[in-house]
Amino acid sequence: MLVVEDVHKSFGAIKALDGVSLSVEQGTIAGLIGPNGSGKTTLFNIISGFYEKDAGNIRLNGKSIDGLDPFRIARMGLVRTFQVAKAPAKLTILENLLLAAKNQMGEKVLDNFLKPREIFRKEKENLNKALDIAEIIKLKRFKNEYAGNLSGGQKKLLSLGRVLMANPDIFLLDEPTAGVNPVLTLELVDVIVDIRKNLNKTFLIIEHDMNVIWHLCDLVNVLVAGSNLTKGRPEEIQKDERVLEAYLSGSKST
Amino acid sequence: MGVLYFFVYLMIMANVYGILSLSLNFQAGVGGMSNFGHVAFFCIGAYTSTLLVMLCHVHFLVGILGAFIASGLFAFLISIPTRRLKADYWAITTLGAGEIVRLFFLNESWISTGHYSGGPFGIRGIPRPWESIIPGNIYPFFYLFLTLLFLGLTYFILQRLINGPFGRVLKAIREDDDLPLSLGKNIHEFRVKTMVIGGAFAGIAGGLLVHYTTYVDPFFFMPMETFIVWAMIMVGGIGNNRGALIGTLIIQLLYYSTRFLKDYLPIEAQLLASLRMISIGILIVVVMLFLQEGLVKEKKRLY
Amino acid sequence: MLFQQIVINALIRASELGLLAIGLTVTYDILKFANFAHVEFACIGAFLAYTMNVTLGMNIILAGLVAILVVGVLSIFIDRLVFIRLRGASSIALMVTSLGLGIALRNGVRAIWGARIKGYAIGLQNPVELIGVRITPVQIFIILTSVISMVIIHLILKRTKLGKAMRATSANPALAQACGIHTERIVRWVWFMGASLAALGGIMIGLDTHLTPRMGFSVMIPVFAISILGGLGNPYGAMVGALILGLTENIGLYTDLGKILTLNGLIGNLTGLYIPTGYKLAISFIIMIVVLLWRPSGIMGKRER
Ligand SMILES: Nc1ncnc2c1ncn2[C@@H]1O[C@H](COP(=O)(O)OP(=O)(O)OP(=O)(O)O)[C@@H](O)[C@H]1O
Ligand SMILES: [Mg+2]
Repeated sequence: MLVVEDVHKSFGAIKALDGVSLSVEQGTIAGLIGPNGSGKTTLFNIISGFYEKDAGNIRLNGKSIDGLDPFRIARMGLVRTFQVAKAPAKLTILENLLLAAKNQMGEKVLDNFLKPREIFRKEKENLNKALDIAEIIKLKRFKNEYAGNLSGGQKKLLSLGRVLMANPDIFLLDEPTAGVNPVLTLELVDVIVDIRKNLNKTFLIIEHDMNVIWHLCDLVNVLVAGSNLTKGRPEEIQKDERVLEAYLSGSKST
Repeated sequence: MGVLYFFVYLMIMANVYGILSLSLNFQAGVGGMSNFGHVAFFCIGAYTSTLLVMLCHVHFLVGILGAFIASGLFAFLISIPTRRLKADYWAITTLGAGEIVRLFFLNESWISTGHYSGGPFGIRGIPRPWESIIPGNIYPFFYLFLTLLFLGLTYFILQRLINGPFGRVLKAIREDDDLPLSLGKNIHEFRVKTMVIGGAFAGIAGGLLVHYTTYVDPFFFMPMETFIVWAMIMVGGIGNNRGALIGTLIIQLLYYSTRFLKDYLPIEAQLLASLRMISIGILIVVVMLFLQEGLVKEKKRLY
Repeated sequence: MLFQQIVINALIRASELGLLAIGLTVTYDILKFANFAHVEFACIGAFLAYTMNVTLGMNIILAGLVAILVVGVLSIFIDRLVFIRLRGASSIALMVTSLGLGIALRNGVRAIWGARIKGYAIGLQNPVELIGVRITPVQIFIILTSVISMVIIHLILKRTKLGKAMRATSANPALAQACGIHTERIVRWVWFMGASLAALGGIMIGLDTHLTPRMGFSVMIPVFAISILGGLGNPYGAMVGALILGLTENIGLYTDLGKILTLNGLIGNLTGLYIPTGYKLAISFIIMIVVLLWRPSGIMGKRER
């Protein structure tokens, strides 16, 4: 589904990524872990088209997505969230969720006047879906609240809600549960498992909360200092001495 | 009687500027695009309609349509660099573009309708629509109604766009490019469309203006006009249409009513003109400092 | 027009606008917004000097120095009154505020001094002729003053603690603050420096031509063009940018472009092709657009990212 081959990226003197490869199979949940600054978010930024890479290949469903604008990659079915949750302050929770729906006719200028009924119907459909999602992320009470007034953790939930609304084929989640309370985290883990099972969707998840990783992932990739350290099933990674060591010593190998 | 006609004139101008501020609000207030050359669209609309009606002898409505299209095209042109330029660079570019358009009509005096016209001489004798069938004493009321109709049309169209999915994306873009991009929105396309729509409606305002004054020259379109429209949307409340209209009324009344203070106060016309502009400038600063949201806050869309 | 004459005229224009542009660029470097009121400092400075020189009969150099200081202080006052409340605001908010401020200042000048054209009491300037170039003593003075000011700016930026602190603040205000640099004080210095440079430029324009309340506003586009050409935030770029703009304007307006295009008649026959003087402003605008599209960070700026 998603194949990353030998990606390099430097910021000036800092080598953020030094030949990273990984692949994620259709219908699986892959984890991406590593100490702070190991290049996880940078890899997300490159896959989703926000940064240009220095070298390497990325393929989505067998097609190269090199050099494509981020919005085109999103339209091909890959949607990511941001580590620092974004939430347009002057849009309400519901508007934030509605924003994410794809193929919205109402985004076409002329259709607003030529096919107002259809747009109205579509909006209604999306609205119902958005309300369901608001329920899942426990933000339904605040549905008409400006997103700018949410707490950090709530913004994180909202980002997750938005990708659910966008309903891509592959989800790239950057620390989806950071700042979310443990009980709700468990519920969200279940939501993700459900989506994978029922809709056969694919996930690549960055997470520092190892419980989430062990629970969710079929395969875990470990990055250290911008290179692959290892990969394997959660049980294997859990036992791997090198992973623990990498976390303990940080990433100061460059 | 004179007072009544003056009031009608004032309201006609308020309608024309209302269209300008709605269109600027669409671009700047909702879309977050710092357009400091709005007067360019106003100017192009005014001249396009004038020339179409006077040289090609088309109907007023065709002239207005021409203004709509020509200004829209120009807006398309100056929105192309938004893909590459940072907001402040683009702002300077639009300011320059506004002046260049004015310079064009100032220097190209062949764009005229006869002797002693064109360039700095301006163009006289622009026909008023349906003048032959409407008695002179009620014509101002008719034109008031006509401009109100166009204002209503502008309001209706822009409001529908703002309230729907299109406006939602614009408001997201206003704050941050990355989120809408990550959700598959072609933000450059949205920006271009927003500029074109806003520019086209500003063109209508230009046409409406000169078909009433029956005269146009490049000095109608000084950069100050843009800043006055900015003052209107800032005072009324940026990002919402009702605010833009209320701001238009307030500034319009303030600006025009103070013009006649010289009849009542021992004050020179020149000085009075400066003081009026100073008050506009200070008003903008004060609103930015103490009343960022303006008089009417952006309305929340409730579901 | 003789080529030497064109170069000298370009140099004069560059001296005047260069000072304004350096002022704009150093303030942009620290404050991070396009200050549309900047050019009004030039106008205010020129008129203050006029009052002292013509109304009060002061020597023009002394009048100029006092005016420059007053404008510098005025800019700090404006910062304390207005911009300090907008630290960290969006660039659009800052730009709109500076626009409003510019309108108020420009018309303030018109209210106080009137709209009539004015000139300094420096007597009629008889041009001297050097190598076929006609130049007035005042124009020589303008060029020298500008060059000396630029050297002083260079020394301040490179040799003083203030210069170092400015660079640190520009690169990373939070870090600079953490390293014990009093960033608000730097901001005040930068306002002072930028505004007084603008005032100096304004006085030079007034010496060379005349004074009107629109004298600042009418050079806004060229000044921005120069700063962008040199890369906003880069004072050395602004110096080079001013020269390029001065040359382009004067070559564009006063040389026969037909001769240049046909290599003096070598290919085809085309003469009498001049850019109409009415389009002088368009030259700056086009320079600006070309630079922005081709190299948005300026010819001497670092490439973005
Ligand atoms: N835009 C940028 N400019 C310069 N350096 C950057 C940029 N983005 C990331 N880096 C650097 O690249 C390295 C990797 O950063 P990245 O954000 O990918 O780490 P991470 O693995 O996501 O860490 P964390 O777990 O803390 O989120 C870091 O050294 C960081 O400073
Ligand atoms: Mg990260």
